[in-house]
Amino acid sequence: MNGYFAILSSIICIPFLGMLFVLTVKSDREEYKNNCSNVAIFTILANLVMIWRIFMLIDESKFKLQLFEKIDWLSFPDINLTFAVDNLSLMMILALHLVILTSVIFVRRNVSDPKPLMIFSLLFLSMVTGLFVSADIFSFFIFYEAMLLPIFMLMGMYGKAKRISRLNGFFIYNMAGTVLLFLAILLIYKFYGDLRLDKTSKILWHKNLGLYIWGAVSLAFISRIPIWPFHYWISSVSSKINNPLVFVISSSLPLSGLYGLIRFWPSYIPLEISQHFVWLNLIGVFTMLFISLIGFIHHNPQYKIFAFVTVYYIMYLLGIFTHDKLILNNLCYALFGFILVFGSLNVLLSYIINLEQQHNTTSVGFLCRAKRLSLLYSFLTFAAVGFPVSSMFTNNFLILSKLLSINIQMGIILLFACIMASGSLIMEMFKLKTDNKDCSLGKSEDIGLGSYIYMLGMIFVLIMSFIRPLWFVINE
Amino acid sequence: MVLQLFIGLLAIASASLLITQGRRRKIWSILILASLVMVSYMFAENLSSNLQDGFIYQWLPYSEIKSDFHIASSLRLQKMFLPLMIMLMGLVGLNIIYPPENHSLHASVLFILSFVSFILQISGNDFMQLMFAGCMFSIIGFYIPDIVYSRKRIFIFNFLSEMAVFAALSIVYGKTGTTSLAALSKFSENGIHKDLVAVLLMFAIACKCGFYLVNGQYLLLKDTLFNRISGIMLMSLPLSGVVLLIKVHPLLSVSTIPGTVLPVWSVITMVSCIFTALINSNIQTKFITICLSFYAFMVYIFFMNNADLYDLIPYFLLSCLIISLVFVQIIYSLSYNKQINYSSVSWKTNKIILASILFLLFTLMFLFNDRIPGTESRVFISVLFVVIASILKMVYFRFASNAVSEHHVWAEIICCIFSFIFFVFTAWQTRFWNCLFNYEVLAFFTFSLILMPIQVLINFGNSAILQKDILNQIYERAFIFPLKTLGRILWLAFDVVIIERSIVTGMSHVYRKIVSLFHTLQNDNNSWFYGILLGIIFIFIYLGVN
Repeated sequence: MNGYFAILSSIICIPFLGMLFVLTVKSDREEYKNNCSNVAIFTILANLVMIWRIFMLIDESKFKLQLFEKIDWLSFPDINLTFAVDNLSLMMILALHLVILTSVIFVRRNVSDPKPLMIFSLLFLSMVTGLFVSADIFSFFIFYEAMLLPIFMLMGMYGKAKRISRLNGFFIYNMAGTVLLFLAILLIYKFYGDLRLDKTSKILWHKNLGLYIWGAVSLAFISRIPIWPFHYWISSVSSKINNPLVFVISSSLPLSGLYGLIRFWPSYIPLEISQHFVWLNLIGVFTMLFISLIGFIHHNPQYKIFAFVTVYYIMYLLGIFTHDKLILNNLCYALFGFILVFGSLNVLLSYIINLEQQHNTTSVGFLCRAKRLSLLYSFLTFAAVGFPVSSMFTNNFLILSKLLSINIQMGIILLFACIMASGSLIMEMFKLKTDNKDCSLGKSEDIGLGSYIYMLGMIFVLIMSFIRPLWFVINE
Repeated sequence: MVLQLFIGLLAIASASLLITQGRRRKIWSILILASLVMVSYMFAENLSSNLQDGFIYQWLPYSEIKSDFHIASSLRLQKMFLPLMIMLMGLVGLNIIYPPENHSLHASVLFILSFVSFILQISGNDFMQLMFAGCMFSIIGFYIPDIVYSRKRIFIFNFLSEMAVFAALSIVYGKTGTTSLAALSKFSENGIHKDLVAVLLMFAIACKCGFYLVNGQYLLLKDTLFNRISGIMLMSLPLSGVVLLIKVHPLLSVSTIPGTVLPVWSVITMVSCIFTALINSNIQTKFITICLSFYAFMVYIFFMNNADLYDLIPYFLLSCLIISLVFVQIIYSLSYNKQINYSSVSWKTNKIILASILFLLFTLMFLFNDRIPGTESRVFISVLFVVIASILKMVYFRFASNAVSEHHVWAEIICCIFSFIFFVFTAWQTRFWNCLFNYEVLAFFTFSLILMPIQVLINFGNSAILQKDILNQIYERAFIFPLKTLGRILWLAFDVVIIERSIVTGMSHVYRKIVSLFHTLQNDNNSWFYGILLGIIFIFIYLGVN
C-alpha cells in the first residue's frame, strides 16, 4: 500500500465493522431493539464523514481514477487488489449511503426484528462500496459478486409471496452472469495480466477473442439492468418488496450493471459491431415503453415506482451507449439525484402504505391532512418527473438531445415512455391528495418533526445538487 | 438594481414563509405590502438614473454546455418591471382586503415568487434558465388554487407543456451544440426537424396561454377564490406563455405552421372567450375568459403586427387588474358565499368607486391603444367594452332585488352612461365620420346590435357548448383506454406466458428433474454404484481413444 492512510479501504471496512457490532447487539428484549438501528445509523454517518474527506483529497476537475491503494494478495498467480476513486464512484457511494441512511431512519420503528435487516444492509453497503472503489478487474469481480449475497438474504427474508421462485430466478440469472464475467476476466488476465479498470478500454477486438470478452462482459452487466428479456426477474424481485430499505437495496442492483459498463467500455468499437448497436437501442426503448405502460395501468404504487426506476435506468444505459464524453462525465450527478429521489419517494410511500395496513383504512386523501408529508411527497414527485429541482434535469436534457439527434423516432418514444412513467407518479400523488371521507388517517399520523427536518435536509441536498453538484467540497 | 429587486423579493418571500398562519395574518400581510412598496420605491429611484446593470452567475462551465444564470440588464426590460411591481402590490393588497381568503400570507408569498420567476424567465439568455423559470411558474401555479382538482388540471397541462419545450430545445441543442438563445438563428439556417420543434413550442405556448380547447386548466379555476384567480391570470402561468413566445420566437419562424395556426387559433380563442364571458353566469368564469382573451390578443398582434410585447404587457395586465378589482367590488358589495348566492344587494356605497374604476380603465385602454398599430386593437377594445357593459347590466338586472325598483333605475342609468362612453370612445378612435363605409365600424355596430338579443336567447340556452373540454375526452378515450389495453396484452403475452411460464419455469423444471434424477440414483445403492462404474468406463474409453 502507499504511504498514506488507507482511506479507501477504511470506507469498505467501516460498514463491515458496523455489521460485526450489530451482530453482537442484544435484541431479545424490546428496549434493546433500537440498538441495532442506532449502530447502523452511526456507522453510516461515520462513513459519510470519511467520504466527505475523500472528496477533498481528489481533484474533481479530472475525470480519472485517483488516490490509488494497492493490496498485495496473491504472489502466484500475481494478483493484487487495487482501489481508486473518481467523481463517478464517489457520487455513487455517497448517494447509496444517503439513501440507505434515510431508509434505516424510517424503517427502524416499523420492523419487528431489525437485527438481520441491519446486518445485511451494512454488509451490502460494505460490498457495494468495495465495488465502486475497485480499480482492477479482480477486486471488481469479487465485490460485484459479493454484493449479491446480502441481497439474496434480504429477498429471502422480506420477499412476499412466491419468493422461492423469485429466488430461483435471481440465482439463475446471476449465476449465468457470474460465469460469463468470470470467464471473461480469466481471459483478460491471461492476455493482459491483472489489468486496472482505467486500462480496460485498451483491450483490443482481436477477432473471436475480443468479441467473446466484450460480449461476455456486456451480457454479464446487462443481465442486471432491467432491459428485455432480463426485465422480468428484476421486476418480480423488486416490485413486491414492501420494506423500503430492502427495495432500495434491490433497486441498486442495476446500478452495478451500469457502473460496470461505464468502466469496461472500450475506447474503440469496430464498425461491424457498432452498426448493430441500433438494435440494443431499440430493445431498450421498447422495454422502456412497455414497462412505463404497465406502470401506468398497475394499481400497486410500489410497481409505479419500480416502473419509473426501470425507465430511467434504461435511459441512462442508452446514454452510456452513445459514449458521449459530456454525458459520461455528468452521468454521476444525474445518478446521484436519481438515487436520492427514488429512494426518498419510496420511503415516504412505504410509510403511507404501512399506516394504511396498521389502521386498516385507505390512504386516498391522506395527504390533505398530513401537511408535512404532502410537501415532501410533492417535491419529490416534482423532482422525479423531471422538473429542474435536482441534478437529474441537466443530464436528462443532454441524453435526450443526443438520442434525438441520433434517431428522432426513437427519441420521441423514449420521451413518451418517460412521460408515461412520470404520469404514473403524478396520478399516485393526486390520488393521495384527493379528499376522501373514508380515510381515517389524520394529522396525528403525519411524520414526526425530526424525520421532517431530516427529509428537508435531503431536499436541500437535491436542490444544491442542481445548482452546484459538488457544493459540499471544500478545497484545501 | 434588478439584482437588488430580485434578492429583495426572495428575502420577503422567504421571511413570510417562516411566519406561521395565525390571527395576526392581516398585520403581517400589511407589513409584506409595506416591504414591497419600499423595494419598489428603491428600484424606481435607481431606474430614474438610467443605469444598466445585470448579474451573471457562471453555472455550467463546460464548453459543450455553457450556461449562465443571468438577471436582466437592459433598460427596456427594467422599465417593464415597475408597472408589474405595482400590479404585484395590487394583488397582495387584494389578498389583504378579500374577506374569504384565510391564508393571505401564503397567497401573497406565491404571487411574489411568481414575479421572481417572471424576472428569471424574461432575463434568461439560454435554454436552461428559460426552462428552469418555466418550471418554477408551473410549480408555483400548482400551489395557488385551493382546490385539488384544479391543481391537478394545472399540473398536468403545464407538465405536458414543459415536456414539449424540453423536447423542442433538446432537438435544437443536439443540432446547434449550444444552449444560448442568441444562437437560435443558426438553427433556422441549418436545423433539422424544424416543423416538429415549431409545433411542440406552439403547443406549449397555446397550453400556457389558455387557447381554445386547451384552456381547461383555467376554466376549472372558477371554484377557486377570486383573489387567487387574479393571481394566476395576471402573474402566473399565462404570463409565462407570453414570455416563452417572445423568447423562442426565432424557432417558431423556422416553420410556416405556427405563423398560420397561432393567429387563427388566437382569434378563435378570443371569440370563444368573449361569448363565454357573455353567456356564463359565473363571475369568476367571466373574469377568466376576459383575461384569456387578452392573452390571445397579445399573441395575435405579436404575429400580425409585430407588436412590441415588452411595452404592452404591463398595460394589458394592469387593465386586467382593474377589471378584477371591478369584479371584486361587485362580489364584495353583494352577500358573498362560496357558491355565489347573490341574495341581497347594497349598491349605494359602490357607485362612485365603480364609476371611477371604469374611468381609469377607459384611460388605460386609451393609453395602450396608441401603442398597437392597426385597427385590430380598436376592435378588440370596443368589443371588450361591450362585454363589460353587458356583464354589468346582467349583474345589475339579474341580481338586483325585484322589490326595489330604484336598483333597476340605477342599473339602466349606469348602462346608459357606460354605453355612451364606449360609443364616444369608439367614434373618436375610428373617426367614423371621415369614412362612413369603414368596415371595422360597420362590423362593430353590427356585432353590438346582434349581440344583445343573442345574449338573451343564449342565456336561457345551453351554455355548455363553449365550455366542453374536448381535450379531456380525447385523453380518456383515445389515449388512456388503448394504452391500458395494450399494456395488459403485452404484460400477459410476454411477461407471463413467454418469460415466466416458458423460460423461468421451464428452466426450473429441468433443474428439478436433474436433481431428482441424482436423488433417485443416490437412493438406490445399486443404481448409484452402476452409474459410477459406467462413468469411469466412459472416461477410460475417452482417454484410450485420445
